Amino acid sequence: MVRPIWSAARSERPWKELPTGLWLFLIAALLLQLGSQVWVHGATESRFRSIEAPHDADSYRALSLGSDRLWSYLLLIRLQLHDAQKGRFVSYRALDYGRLADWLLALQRMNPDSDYPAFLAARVYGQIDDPERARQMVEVIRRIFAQNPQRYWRRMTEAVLIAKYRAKDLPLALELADALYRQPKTVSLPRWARDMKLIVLDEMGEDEAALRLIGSLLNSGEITDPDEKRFLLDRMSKLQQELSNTRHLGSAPDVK
Amino acid sequence: MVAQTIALFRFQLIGIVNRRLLVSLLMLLLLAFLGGRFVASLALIDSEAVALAAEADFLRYALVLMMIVGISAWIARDYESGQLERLLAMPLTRLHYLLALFAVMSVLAALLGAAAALPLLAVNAGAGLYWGMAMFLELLLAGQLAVLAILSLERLPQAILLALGLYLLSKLGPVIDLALRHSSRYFSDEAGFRIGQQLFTLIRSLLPGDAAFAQNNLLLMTQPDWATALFAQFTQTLIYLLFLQAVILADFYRKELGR
Repeated sequence: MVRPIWSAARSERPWKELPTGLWLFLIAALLLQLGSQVWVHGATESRFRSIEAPHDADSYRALSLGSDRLWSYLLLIRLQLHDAQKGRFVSYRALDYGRLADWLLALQRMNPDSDYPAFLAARVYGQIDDPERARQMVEVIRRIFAQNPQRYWRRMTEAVLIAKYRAKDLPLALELADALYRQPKTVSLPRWARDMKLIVLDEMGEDEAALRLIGSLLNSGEITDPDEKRFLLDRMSKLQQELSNTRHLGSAPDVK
Repeated sequence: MVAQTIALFRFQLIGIVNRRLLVSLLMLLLLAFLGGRFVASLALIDSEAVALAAEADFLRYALVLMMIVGISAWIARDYESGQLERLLAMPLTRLHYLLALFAVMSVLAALLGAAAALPLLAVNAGAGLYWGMAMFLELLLAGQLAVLAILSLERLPQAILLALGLYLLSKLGPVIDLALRHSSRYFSDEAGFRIGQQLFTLIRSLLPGDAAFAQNNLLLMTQPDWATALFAQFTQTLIYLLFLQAVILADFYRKELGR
């Protein structure tokens, strides 16, 4: 006959023989553990955890054990996920854009060849409907562009549109477009990028301007990353849809 | 001498390359692949390159740990079972034993290096070849550190900790430099600080340099120079392996093993 595995427990004393003090201690310890977890969980769940200030790029580089490029990407992904906390997405307005800008610039210094910080500034955080915050992202792009205009001119063209339509700051947009125009001939830019002033001064709407920029970027052949190409094509089709809806509504006969 | 070393190598190889090792390798590769896919799903741009670099770095640390634990445990077993004494009672010198050990370690490093290169080979042949060879050299280094640690300490937990500590300390050189650079603002005039600084400089010069490790940064460069990095790593590893081998031989010769 197979002996049940719990038969070994027969040699143990029954539970009722446990001293009352030990019972009380066991229950108190259990309650303390449960209570502390409920308290910690409750305290952190309702509160939005703001982004902590970054350390300098050298510290992150030293701690990456030689894989600083990979760690710059992983830290950027962590930063990008900051708006999703406890399974909920929070508005970008809740983010501290000053610290966000510090993070993007620190991680850019950590991996100067990466386009990711400028991409996040232009395509993710710069798309906010808050002029002051949009201006902060424009500043990030402007500083990254100043380091290497040849590499980051595309982000600068996007910054021009962010300055005009999101920051609602026409002089700033013209200043950025001028910075592109004033690049020496050694910096190879397509003509439309040097002439961003025309787009700024044009009376076209934000969607039309964005559509024109995306079309020019895709046609320039400069975008080689399949993820970004997919991202831009997706954005383009959404913009086309929005524009066609607007036109359709605009031309619809009035119902009397 | 060659025939004896080869015979010992074949005998020892069977002890270390076994089914459990292959199953662990498969599990690690699967974990790396799943982790890489997770990273790729989060990255908005450059997702494939980031995922590959993340997989490569995960496999690097997992395989180094596997190498250190595997080599240390295997030598410790030889010690405990009296195998080492039996072997040395035969017409074999301690040099034979160490050479056979190095040959087995090379086969193991080649096997693990090939496993580390697999995920990259499927996407980028150049990167895969580089990573495989660079990991082979790095694993040899880690294995040799493990041999040094277990032969000198003769206790498994301490030996694993020492080998891992030496490996990580070699990689943490920039952190020590950074800490010293930040501290020097306040303590540069103190004699104690200057002695400490010189001590760290001495310790760093006794450890392998940054170039002796596989360069993950190259996997995220648009035009990486694989050959230069590999040559620098090969040179540094060769010099350091010779240094380690000399230390191990000196330590091993001094040991009383019932002979």
